[in-house]
Amino acid sequence: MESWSEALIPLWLSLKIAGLATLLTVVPGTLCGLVLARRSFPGKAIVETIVELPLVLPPTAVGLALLSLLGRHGPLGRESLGFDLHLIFTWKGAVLASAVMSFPLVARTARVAFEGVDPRLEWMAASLGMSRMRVKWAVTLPLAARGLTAATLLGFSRALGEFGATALVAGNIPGRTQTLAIAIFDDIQNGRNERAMILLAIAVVLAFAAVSTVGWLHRKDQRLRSKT
Amino acid sequence: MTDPLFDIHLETKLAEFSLDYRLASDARCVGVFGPSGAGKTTVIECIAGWRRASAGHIRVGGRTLFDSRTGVHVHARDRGIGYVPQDILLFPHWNVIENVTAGVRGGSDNGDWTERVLDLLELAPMRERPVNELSGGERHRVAVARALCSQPALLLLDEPLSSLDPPLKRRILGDLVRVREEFGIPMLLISHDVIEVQVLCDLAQRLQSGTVRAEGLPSAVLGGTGNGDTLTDHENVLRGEVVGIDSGVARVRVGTGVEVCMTGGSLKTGDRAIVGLRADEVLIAIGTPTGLSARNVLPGRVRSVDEGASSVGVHVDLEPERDDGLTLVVNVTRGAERELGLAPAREVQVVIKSRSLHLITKLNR
Repeated sequence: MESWSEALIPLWLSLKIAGLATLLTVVPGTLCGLVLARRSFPGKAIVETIVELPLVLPPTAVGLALLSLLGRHGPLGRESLGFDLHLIFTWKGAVLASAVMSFPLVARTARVAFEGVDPRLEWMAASLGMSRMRVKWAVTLPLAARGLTAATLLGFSRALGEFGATALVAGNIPGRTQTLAIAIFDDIQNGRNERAMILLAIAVVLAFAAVSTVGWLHRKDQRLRSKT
Repeated sequence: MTDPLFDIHLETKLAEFSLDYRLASDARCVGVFGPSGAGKTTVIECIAGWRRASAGHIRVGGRTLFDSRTGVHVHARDRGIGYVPQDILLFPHWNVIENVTAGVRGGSDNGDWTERVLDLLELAPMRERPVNELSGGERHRVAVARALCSQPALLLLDEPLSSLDPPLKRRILGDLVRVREEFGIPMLLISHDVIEVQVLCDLAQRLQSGTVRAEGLPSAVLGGTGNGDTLTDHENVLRGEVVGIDSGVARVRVGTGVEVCMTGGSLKTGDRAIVGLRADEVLIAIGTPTGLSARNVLPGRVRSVDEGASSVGVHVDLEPERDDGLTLVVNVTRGAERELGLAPAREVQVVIKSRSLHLITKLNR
């Protein structure tokens, strides 16, 4: 029983960090997806590569890059800014690391969602006299809504499972920065196999729920598109 | 001198040819007819502002929407053009009324206008229905209603009857005629269907490989271009009103005063109807023929004679005293043309069997 209650601490921390990381990424990720889906501009290929970089880099490499940026002597460190952002070895740092890691997934899924909206529908809305903002708000966003929800869920799931970058930036401080993923690693390292298995079960349930929801949204979206 | 209603010149490069489209006309309804891939949709999308021609200009009712020389390119949202594309493009997440009023801007008359449109197209009972539950014909009507409710200065229709089965074609065609009559909005429609252009348009253009190959009255431009479809293969399209029914035969007044007899079918006195007549099913006689079973013998005067590859198209004025009077196209052989001495101004009699006149659509509500 003690293991169960102990397990709830990293679970709660993970949910808090993943939730805040998702809040941090959902708007810029969606906007980034929209721009990449609808706009052509010089250097677009470079922007696409930069956006997707955290997807292909080892998470620890991203963590190291963040650490270098935010460390005392880094461009965003205390010495450069003149004040401390208090991100290294704090739960806020974990939020930032998770956000950076989940951003490409949000942007990429949002891009696919926007690409699934027929641009001729946007032209039609414009022909009917709708302003650019109204076209996006009343036509594009609702039609991409399921895909965008999936993007948010995938981003949340990615943040929830984040390990490498978070461990480097926020460390492994039980009750403060020790998320579900880090706690499993820590338990295995220290022979607390029973607690590790409980955390594993929780992780499986969360992942199962997220993936099923994304799949359900995708199928619903396909059905709507096939009808119209 | 005032600008024509339509003053359009578009040049742009397409995959297989260069488009060079020109239109300068005061006709209220222009039909651009041509085969698939002739550049018709490019023309209509340039006018709608969905794509930009590389050179030329678009002026509608004196307003410049595009001019490559002065760099004017009015955005689609500011053109005030109602567009019904071939793929309809209803907003799938909205119901009928939300779609129909999508383009309604603020203003006191909009409510009345919208109700008038819904009433005309018989959409009022289905206003709350989701559009993905509508049939093909209903979706067409919603798309037309949506375009009309934005109170456009010009209505563009891209293949409005394609992909509809014949009964539905008749229905939608009747709706479009009513829209044209009731709202008086200038229209430009593109089509590869002869009947659409003949029924709806004052001016027809034949577009082929990106250039206008012929322009004029629909009957003159489209004569002999029928495609074998019983609904569409009529070189003559007459609009009229049933003035009486006798023994299953309807007397229909066409033009300003010409009366023809046709098999009645579902027609009733007072019905307004569009009637089709194939050029091959009309006879020409010199002098008044007697002892005929045909119910219609109409006096006329030859307006022009077009030599075709296999037959001769004779255009006969049935109301020669009027410039815009009723004209029929009659196909005869070269031998008949020579023997009867058919030439402009020749007085003739036109003979039509009542069974040769086919009801295309009724215009009643």
